[in-house]
Amino acid sequence: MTMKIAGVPIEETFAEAFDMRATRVIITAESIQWALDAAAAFTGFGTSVIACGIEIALERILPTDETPDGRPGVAILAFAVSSKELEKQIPRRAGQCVLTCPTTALFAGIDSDKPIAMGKQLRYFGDGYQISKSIGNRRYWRIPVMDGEFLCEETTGRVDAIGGGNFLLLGRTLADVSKACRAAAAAIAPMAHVITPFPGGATRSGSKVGSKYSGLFASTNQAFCPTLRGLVDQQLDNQVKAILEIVIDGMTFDAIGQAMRVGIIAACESVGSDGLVGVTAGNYGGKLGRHHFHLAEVMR
Amino acid sequence: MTGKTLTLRNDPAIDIDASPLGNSLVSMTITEVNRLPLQVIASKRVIGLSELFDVQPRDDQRIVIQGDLARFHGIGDRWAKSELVVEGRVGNRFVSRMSGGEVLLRGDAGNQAALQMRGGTLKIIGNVGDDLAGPLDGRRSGFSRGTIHVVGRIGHYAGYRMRRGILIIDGDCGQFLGCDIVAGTIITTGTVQSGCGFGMQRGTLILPQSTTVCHLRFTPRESVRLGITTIMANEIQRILPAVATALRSTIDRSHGDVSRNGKGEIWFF
Repeated sequence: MTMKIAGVPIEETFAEAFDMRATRVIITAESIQWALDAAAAFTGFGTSVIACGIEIALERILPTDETPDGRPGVAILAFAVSSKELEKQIPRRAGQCVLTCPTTALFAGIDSDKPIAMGKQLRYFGDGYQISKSIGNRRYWRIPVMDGEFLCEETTGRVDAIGGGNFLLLGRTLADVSKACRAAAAAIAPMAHVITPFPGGATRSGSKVGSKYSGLFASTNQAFCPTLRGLVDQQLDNQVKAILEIVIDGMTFDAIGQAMRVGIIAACESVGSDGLVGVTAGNYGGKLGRHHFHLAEVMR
Repeated sequence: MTGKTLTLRNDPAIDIDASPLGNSLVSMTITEVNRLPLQVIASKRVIGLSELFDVQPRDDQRIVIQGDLARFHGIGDRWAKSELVVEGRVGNRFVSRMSGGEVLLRGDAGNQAALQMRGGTLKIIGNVGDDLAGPLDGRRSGFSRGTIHVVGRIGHYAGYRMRRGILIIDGDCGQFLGCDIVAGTIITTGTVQSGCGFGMQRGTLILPQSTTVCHLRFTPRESVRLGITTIMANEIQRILPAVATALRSTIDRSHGDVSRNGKGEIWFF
């Protein structure tokens, strides 16, 4: 028997996710607004590894007792397919988006014996006036800037993680599915160890692997495009008029599963069966990613 | 491998090279410890340890040495792991070349304690002589890693040529504190005599507001609020809560030693 949440059927399928490399950083500032401004810049153009190279987003706003310097701050998670890409992106983004933002400081958000450079590279901006300081087993760089000092931890850690957890909301109208999507993203937002990297937490451009055009390795997934009903092979219910997808990257399998569960419940309860025809998930037949999130198990 | 308690029975009334009472004690049997030869300094005379100490096994892994050991020099030499507790005064060169583990001394130490220390945690509850945490004879750098915490007075030239680590003195300091330091952190809560920070290249001295430093070697004090001071405050919160509180707000700072183009700092709390 098909499981239902608030009257919305949950399809017996699974989301297929992939191994990724991840890191976590903490940005603090004199005010939460500066921290959020830096985070917005730092996480820009980071929705998908397909073209951005990295999937990066705000994990959550941190209370001051969770930040290393006791100031307002945010935690950011970043995911990439390769360690090399993370090692390229993090210092570059830190240099252009955090170093430049008034009052900010940048700290490692995760410990690991596999480091990703931050201050280790940015220190050279100090042109010889930078100072390093080792406190405990951590090393910090202090770079003189026009508002005082930019404090930046030498490295952050890199860990194995999972990207591509997902679920799709099948809506009766665009307004309904949009509302459900917002509810899901809002429910997932405060959760630790996961991010939803797409704008507002959701994407409308669910993709399949490959394309008729050579050189494109991802293209629109016509099986989920309601406007192509009748033209292509689809299994969509006739009542489905719009679909949005929530994509979740996480540090662990359990964190993603929990986020999927919380998001699906919030989406279903926000509009019920009057707004959603169903909830399903995206996969590639289980052949590409080794992490399978079966909706029936996730919702149990 | 068990812990041992060495209790001094007789005051030798002569100076003894006690460097065999170092990290090798951890792996020795009681019999081997009793047979340890101790050289009398400036003499060819050798005394068996059992002539001076009563050695007993312990239920834990600690090495405990008890008694007035002021004539014993070099105790804890090359201490690298496990825990050493010394109850009583010790002579010179206490825990020289220490590289790990934990050492607690309840009593005064002579000169040249923690020479060339490069790891571990040392706490001394008592007064310490000159040259604390300095370099071994002829070496370019001294204390290079670990934590030293002294609750008591210290003599001159503490932290000379220190390279890394944190030296905390909860008490008064003699002359030339942190002289020629290359890096690292020295914190003191008491009075500091003249010459502190002379020749410092990098590193941080954290000193009371009342401390006088040479105006030819350090820039004028300037009030600043720095993120790094909060990180330091978190590190020392448990040991020096009052200093930690001060570091979380605006502090005065001087740079130096400018006479050698140094990038060191003094933070006044």
